[in-house]
Amino acid sequence: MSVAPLTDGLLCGWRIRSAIALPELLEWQGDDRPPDLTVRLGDVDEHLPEGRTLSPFLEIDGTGTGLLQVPEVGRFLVRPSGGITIAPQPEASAAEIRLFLLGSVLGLVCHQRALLPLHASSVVIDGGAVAFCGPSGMGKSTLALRFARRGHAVVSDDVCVLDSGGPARVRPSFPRLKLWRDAIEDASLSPEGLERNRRGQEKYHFLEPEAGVRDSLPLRAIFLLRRPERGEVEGIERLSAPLDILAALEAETFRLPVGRALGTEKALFQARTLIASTVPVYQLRRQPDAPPERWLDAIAAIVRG
Amino acid sequence: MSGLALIASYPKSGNTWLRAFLASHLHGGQPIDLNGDLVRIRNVTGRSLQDRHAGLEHSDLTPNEVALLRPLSSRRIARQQPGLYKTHDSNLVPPGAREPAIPADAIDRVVYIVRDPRDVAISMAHHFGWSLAASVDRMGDTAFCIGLSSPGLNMNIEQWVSSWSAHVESWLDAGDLHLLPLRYEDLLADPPGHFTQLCRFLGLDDTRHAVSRSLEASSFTALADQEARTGFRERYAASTAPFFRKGGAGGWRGELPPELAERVACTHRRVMARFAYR
Amino acid sequence: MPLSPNSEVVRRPHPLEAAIGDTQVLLDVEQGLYFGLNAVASSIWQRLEQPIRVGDLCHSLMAEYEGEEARIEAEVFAFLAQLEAQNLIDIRA
Repeated sequence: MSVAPLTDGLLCGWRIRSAIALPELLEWQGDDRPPDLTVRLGDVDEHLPEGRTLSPFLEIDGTGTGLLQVPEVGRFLVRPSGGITIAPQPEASAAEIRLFLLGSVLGLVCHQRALLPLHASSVVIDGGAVAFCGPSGMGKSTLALRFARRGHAVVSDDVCVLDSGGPARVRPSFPRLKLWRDAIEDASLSPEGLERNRRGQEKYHFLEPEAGVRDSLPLRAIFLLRRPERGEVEGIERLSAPLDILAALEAETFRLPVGRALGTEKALFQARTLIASTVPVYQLRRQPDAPPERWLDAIAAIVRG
Repeated sequence: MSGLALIASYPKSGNTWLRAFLASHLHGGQPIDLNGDLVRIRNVTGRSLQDRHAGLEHSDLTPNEVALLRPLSSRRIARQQPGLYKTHDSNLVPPGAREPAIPADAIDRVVYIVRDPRDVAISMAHHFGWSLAASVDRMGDTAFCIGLSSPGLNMNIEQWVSSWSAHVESWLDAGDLHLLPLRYEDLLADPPGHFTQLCRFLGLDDTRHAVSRSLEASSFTALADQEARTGFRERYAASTAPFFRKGGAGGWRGELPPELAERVACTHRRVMARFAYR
Repeated sequence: MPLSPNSEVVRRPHPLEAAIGDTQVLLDVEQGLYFGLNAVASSIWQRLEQPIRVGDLCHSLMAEYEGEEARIEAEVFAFLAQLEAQNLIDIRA
């Protein structure tokens, strides 16, 4: 396979050298260090010799190496050294390969490096990162899109990586949002020309290429998106009980069992307690199918204090 | 209980009524909140449940990949979170997969509800906002799936339902399952008798007083009144009628045009005869 | 193990801990459970780093907090029983 030389990219502060093009990423402009992450194409065995199954499509071995297998996309071998080998399925599209490289594999890399990945979309508000967490379908990416349309840079979609040590900072990933057709059309945009998340799927990759963020940012606030339960009204409320905040941050940890399997509980606990003691965490209760627009000003006002 | 205790049925066959009854019964016959308490008997295909046990997001997978993944996730749910669940899955091996979505070894026992397909056709049409003819077509379609995400995310993941006849036979003729079949029409005709049987099968309190209390809390009027007051979260967005619409048997005689009734009877003749649907 | 003033109590090894505001938070990694301790509970917890007799623990708390001996003792016993129930301490006769 002949591959045109690609420039190195910037992913969460890491220098990444990749055999496949990663249009989501900004170009690396930092020092001339060797790459932190290297993506190659090559053969990958079906199992790790000493691996144990952590979830149906993921094995981990004692050295911290992970093997992700997505039946119609391919195998991803992820070494703690930062070496990533991909054996794609012949029919896999480039977008499908990047979807898992910049999603599940990125989460694995974070856990290998004892960094806390939150399952969150995040945008820049008032010079800091504001993260939206919550179950699928609650509108994380949709809120991020609405902020992006108002000129706010997108810091992450899906995987929001916290830096180690204090104060709490976010390592920007890339300005791509995964959006269903209805969310795109509700924002008066068209999915035409956008790459599909998976073949035949009505979910698309929306890229704001000019809007990437290079340097780490202070984490300004976390909003947990929830559906109002019975007796509750829509609204925003700050969580105050430390145990509630920690439980929420644990629930919103991306690929939590991977961190446990790799023995990084201590680092994750420190990252969560740092957030709980220094970053305001709010619950945003709204009906997921209600227009998101009315919340944007309220969110921005709360963040700006 | 070890593994999954399933309330299984083709869609619109009385599953939600049983869930309402059980939601009340598990709490001593208390009145239930439709939008809060039905989660006591969760849908096994709920997206967040499935995502958590699969360790990834089903919204990033193709239907074929979901079909390969589901049996593996079902076993994990059976091991880590056993209990009562509802499902509309058929007990068939989906194309491209090697086993059914919920394999027999993940199942503790199954309550299977069957309802006259002509009444199902009417109820499905109202629920999904389809024409009666479309509803009848889907019921004969062995490729029929629900839980598809288009144009937006579905709160359930993909379920391969297949045709009405194939669905019924896949569960009732499985052979390797501890199974209680219930006819919806029998449940309606003699609620105390059949719900007592249900409770006994599930190892729940089957005393007359307890059963009748829970039946009252989950009566059709109680549920329909509540939906009229507060709405029902599980009602489909395109529905043309309330979720709790009539809850009767034999409504098709007045509502289903004779040629459609004949088509249902023709397509599903063998299975209908088994349940004396004439 | 029944608790008496002569029992010796000590923390079980290695829960993770951190202060969040006034709350001391413990994470028992094995059980995956979080615990929150208020100021008084946390000052008892601090004293359990090395094995200590329950009687001595009560005396040292009485020196710091005003209160009737019987009441402090009752509260300490109740709290230690909770800690033991959650597998956070060992009690030796």
